[in-house]
Amino acid sequence: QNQSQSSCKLLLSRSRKSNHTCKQTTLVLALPASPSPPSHLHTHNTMSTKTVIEPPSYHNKATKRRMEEIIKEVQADNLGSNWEYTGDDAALLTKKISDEVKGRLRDLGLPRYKYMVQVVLGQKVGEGMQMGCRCLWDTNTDAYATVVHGNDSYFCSVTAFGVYQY
Amino acid sequence: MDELQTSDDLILDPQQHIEPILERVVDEVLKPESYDETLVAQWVDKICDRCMKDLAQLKKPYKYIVTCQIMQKTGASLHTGMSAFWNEEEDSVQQYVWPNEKKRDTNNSRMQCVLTAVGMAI
Repeated sequence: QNQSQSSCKLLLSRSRKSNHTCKQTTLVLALPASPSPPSHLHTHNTMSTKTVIEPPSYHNKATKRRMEEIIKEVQADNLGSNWEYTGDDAALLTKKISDEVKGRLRDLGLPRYKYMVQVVLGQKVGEGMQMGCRCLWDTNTDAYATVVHGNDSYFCSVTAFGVYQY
Repeated sequence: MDELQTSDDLILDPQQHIEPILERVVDEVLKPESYDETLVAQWVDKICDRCMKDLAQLKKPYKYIVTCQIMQKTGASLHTGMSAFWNEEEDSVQQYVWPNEKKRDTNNSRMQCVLTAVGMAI
C-alpha cells in the first residue's frame, strides 16, 4: 500500500514574546515509514552461462618426463633385464604392462586428461623393425613418451600418449 | 551443442572412416617394395604423414594419433597391447595389419606393417 503523500506535521512552539531572551523554536517533522521499493525493479538475468575450458596449469600437465618415469618403473617391475622371451608369458605381460601404465597415469590425477598406452613386446631373432608415430593435437597441452627396453632375447617398447580434452 | 554432436558429419566411425584410409595408404607405400633396411624409416614417415593428412581432411572435431610399425618377416613372434583411459562413447581406435590375410593378391614382400589410428574427441 503506497501512500502517495507523506504527511508531515509541523509543530511550532513559540514562546511568548516576553522579556525572556531565549526564543525557542522547535520544529518537529514526522514522516511515516517509507514503503519498500517496488518489486518490479528486480531484474532476472537469464543469460546462458558460457563455460571456457582453460588449458592446464604447469603442475597439471601430462609431461613427457612424468610419463617416462612411470613407464620405466613399470617395465623394470615386470621385465627386468634377465627375462627370457616365451610366447605365453609375452601375451600376458603385454596386457599387464599396458594396464599398469594406464592405471598409474590415471592415478596421477591430472584433470581432463585422456591416456593411451601402446606396448609392443617382441622376440629378437635378428629381424629389422621400425616404429613411428604421428600426432595431430595441441602441443601446448598434449604429450607422449616412449621407452624401449630389452636384452638379447626380447625387446619391449612402451609408448604413452596424454591428450587434454577441452 | 547436443545437436551438433550427433550429426553424421561430426562423428568418427572407425570402420567407415578410418579403415579405408589406413588400407589405401599402406598399399600405396608398401605394395611395390621389399624390406630394405635403409628405406624403412622413410616408409614409416611416409605412411604416417599420408595417414595424418587424410585423417585431417575428414574435418571432424577429433585429435588423432597414428602409430606405424614395419617389421621384417622372419618367423619371430610379436605381441602388441593397448590400454586407454578415455570416453568410450566418443573415442575409438582402429588397427590395420598389412598384408591382410583375406586379400591374398598382395605380394609376399617379406615384411609386415601394423598401423594403429586413435581418434580422441575434442
